[in-house]
Amino acid sequence: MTFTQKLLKLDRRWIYLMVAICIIVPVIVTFRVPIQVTPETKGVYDKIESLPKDSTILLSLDYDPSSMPELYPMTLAILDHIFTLNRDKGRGLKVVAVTLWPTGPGLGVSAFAAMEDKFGTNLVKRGRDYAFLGYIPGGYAVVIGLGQDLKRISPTDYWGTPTSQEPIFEHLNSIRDVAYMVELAAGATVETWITYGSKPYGFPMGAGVTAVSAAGYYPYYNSKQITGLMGGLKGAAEYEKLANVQGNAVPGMRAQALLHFVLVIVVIVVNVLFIVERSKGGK
Amino acid sequence: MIKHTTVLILVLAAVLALATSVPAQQGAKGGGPPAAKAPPAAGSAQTAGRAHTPAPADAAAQESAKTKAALDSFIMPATVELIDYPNDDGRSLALKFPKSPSESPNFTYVVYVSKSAGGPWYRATGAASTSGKILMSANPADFGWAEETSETHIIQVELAKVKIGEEAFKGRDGMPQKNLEGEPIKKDLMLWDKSTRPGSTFYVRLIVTNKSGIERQVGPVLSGAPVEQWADPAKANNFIFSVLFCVVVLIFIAYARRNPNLFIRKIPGLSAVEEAVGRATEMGKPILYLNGMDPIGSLNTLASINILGRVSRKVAEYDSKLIVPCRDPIVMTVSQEVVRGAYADAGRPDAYREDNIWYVTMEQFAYTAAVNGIMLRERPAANFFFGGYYAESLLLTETGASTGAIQISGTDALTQLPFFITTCDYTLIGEELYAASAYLAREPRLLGSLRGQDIGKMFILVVVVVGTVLASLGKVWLDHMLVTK
Amino acid sequence: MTFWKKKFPIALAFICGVVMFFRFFSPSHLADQTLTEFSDWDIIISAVASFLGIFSLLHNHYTKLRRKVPGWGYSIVVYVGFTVMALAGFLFKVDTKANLYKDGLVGVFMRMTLHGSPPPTEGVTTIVNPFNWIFMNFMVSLGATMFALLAFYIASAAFRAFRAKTREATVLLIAALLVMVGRVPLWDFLNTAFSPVSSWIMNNPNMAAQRGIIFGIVLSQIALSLRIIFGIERTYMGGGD
Repeated sequence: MTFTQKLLKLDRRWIYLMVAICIIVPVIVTFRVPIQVTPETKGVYDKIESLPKDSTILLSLDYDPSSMPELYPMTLAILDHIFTLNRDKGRGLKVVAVTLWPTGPGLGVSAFAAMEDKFGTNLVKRGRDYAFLGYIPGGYAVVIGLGQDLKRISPTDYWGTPTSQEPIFEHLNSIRDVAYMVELAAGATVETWITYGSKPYGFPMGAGVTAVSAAGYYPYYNSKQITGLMGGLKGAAEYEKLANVQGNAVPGMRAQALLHFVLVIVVIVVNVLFIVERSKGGK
Repeated sequence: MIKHTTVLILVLAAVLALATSVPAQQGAKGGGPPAAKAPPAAGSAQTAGRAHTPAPADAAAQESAKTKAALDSFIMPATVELIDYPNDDGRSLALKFPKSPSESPNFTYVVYVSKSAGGPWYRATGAASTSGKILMSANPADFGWAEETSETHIIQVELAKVKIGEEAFKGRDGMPQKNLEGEPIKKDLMLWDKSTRPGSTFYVRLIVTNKSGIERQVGPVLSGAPVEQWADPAKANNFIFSVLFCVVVLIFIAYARRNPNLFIRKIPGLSAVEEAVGRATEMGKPILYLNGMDPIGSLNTLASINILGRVSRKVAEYDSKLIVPCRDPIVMTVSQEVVRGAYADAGRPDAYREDNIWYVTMEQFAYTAAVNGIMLRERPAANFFFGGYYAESLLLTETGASTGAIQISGTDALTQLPFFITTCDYTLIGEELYAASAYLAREPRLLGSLRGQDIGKMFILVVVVVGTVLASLGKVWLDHMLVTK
Repeated sequence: MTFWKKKFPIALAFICGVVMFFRFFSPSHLADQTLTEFSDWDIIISAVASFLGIFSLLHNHYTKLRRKVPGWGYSIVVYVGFTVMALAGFLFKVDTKANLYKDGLVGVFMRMTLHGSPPPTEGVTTIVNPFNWIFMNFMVSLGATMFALLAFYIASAAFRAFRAKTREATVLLIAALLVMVGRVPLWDFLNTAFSPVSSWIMNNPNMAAQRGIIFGIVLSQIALSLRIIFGIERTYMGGGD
């Protein structure tokens, strides 16, 4: 077997080693990664930026720890953006969060705890500035129920406090009253929220999804059923850049950028060799 | 019998839709409830939730003079009509009036509503006079495409959302409740409360106001009663196409019963099912079947369970072992029933093992790890992946490929198709998953529905092509016909 | 028995399907209430279904333990994990502020299990709820590890799949390379040159192809729904046709 043929039939473990090196090296060697913001991500940012004073934003954290590296930085960047607007511009925006996945609550609790740590409980107060309803089983039925009567579907928040006692719900009877919604999804819940939430109840929404599923949501973005679409770690990095947040997405892009670059080079080289080999009459 | 009853119900529904659309259409054209009853307007504007009460006599005279001076430049709309808002649940009215030539961002239209002619008046809604959202043309599904719609305003007055005040929220013990901050919890009082009966009369005033907050009433106080519609004519096109599609499918099912040899093109993945099962039997290894990651309510899971029924029948005939680890408890229950039934049909009820179909976990990657472990330990000779999949698809199929199993997959998850195609021997793309049940069973009823589907697809293709050509030529009637809510 | 096992489910599916179909076209208050009612029942059934799953899981592993099949030790791990997580979730309420020296272990336990106990004023330490601790340190780590495997698998799949063997494969290769380069934020010139191309591919051919496949899928879903509603497709009930 010639060297070219050996390269074309390379054992997959060499590829795994290459991937490992591309991910480990950027952790040790830092370099600048230019992030270009796409219109899709800007759609979400611009909408939040333009919300009127005292608006309520609904966040649905429909992901689990395995998608955390991509979607958790998005969650933190969005929350940071919202509470920064409150702190610097006195917008008085409120956040109500829910999750349709049983593994979502832990992540929601962590995100809000991080915001309380950063902004202080004067600015980020549970029950007044934000509420987390936790996991509610039922999928699309939950979305429909929240659109009819939120306090009936969720009589208490995640910590057991009655929603009727929380100031944030005083004038919020259902999700029809929210000004905007951001769906952070590792699965197919974006369609659920569009079909059963945004369309019938008339609130605009944006989506943040994993990179693997981002390609499938462009039809919704193009038909304006969602105002913006953040795809994967790059989407999170773009949002961090827009909102001027020091998160984990931009540093994480170093590994992704290097790996993509190396993969592109490898694929080009392999195809050149493949064409050369084929022209020689080899397999 | 079900078929005849269904057709009858559909016809009745169509008649009902047409019948109930008539009052709404008349309402929208301005027939509506009688306009212009009662008393003179008075008083200054108040914020939402507080009654709008007339000022004392001396102040009223001064106010009147100021108002007159400030808004003299605004040319009032010639007519104002109060109509029932079309295609709703009977809790909205609408004010319809032509655009004024002097509209500008400085002027706002505000609507006040009351249950009695003399007030108290409550603010219902407001919009800038130049806002496109209050033009009839902003909602063509309800108001059509006529030229006049871009010159006519329609302001929806949602009576159920009008707040008239607040009261203390009382608990079960009748005592006022306090929130976490020790403040008394208030409950909104709404204009439309439990005592309001459908068909009640409401009184409405249209006000134009400028940036200083000075108001001037447009036309007289109007009264009307909202009417609940039972069918939404704006969705009529949707309804007609759905019914047509159903009828076409049913016709072809009936046709297929008389002509059972309907042609269906070869789907390589499904033709390979028997080969895969036979291979597993020869090697003495089990067959692994996954129903996907979605719950039972997803149609792709139902399609997968249908295929499971056919596959398990073959497995029973070949006397092989079938393993079905499930991600959802209800899917597990249904799968057990399906496989049990299939084994019974194949005459092998004794060979059925309930323990081979079990619930693993709902957590996505824990399930993936479990299935990978099964693949590496049990070394199934054939892996079937049918249903909805997400990020774990490549993990599953790569592991399966590394064990040397023959892999057949089918999913409607578009983003996972590239991974399946790369790693599986056969892949069913999109609708082939839903056709699989008909393909494997070769039952005329199922084949007939496939043919009906194809007619539907052909219809969409024709509409897309014709619509594109027409739109390019500036003819938008087809576009208008297809607009829905 | 045949009525309850065969005819009743078909009749129920038919009635529910037809009601929900017509409900969509009605703006009335009754239609709204119908939707709410059905959704509530859906939530209840989903919640109850989790018990079915737990029972199946525990029964399955109990059988493996009883028969001592190869790998039965892992069934013990399942039982231990299930018990620990369940107890942690039921017993402990919230992350609590406690003074370990002053309150001692018993005091900390009491404070964590009693909801709403006031925090101490001196020497405060935040004690993390065991449920949250296990979640963050086990679940998150294990889940992230599994997901991270995808990076390796995708790289090896890309290496095998992106070969210009046929015309279609060549088109796929070129499109994939353009999109990947457009999303590689390594150099500004790459971003500027290729990002618009990448966006165009995603927003035009990709979206068009997705829409085409979606049309077919949706029609198939409608046809499958019709077959289920009219009782033509009955495989999901089990027991054969």
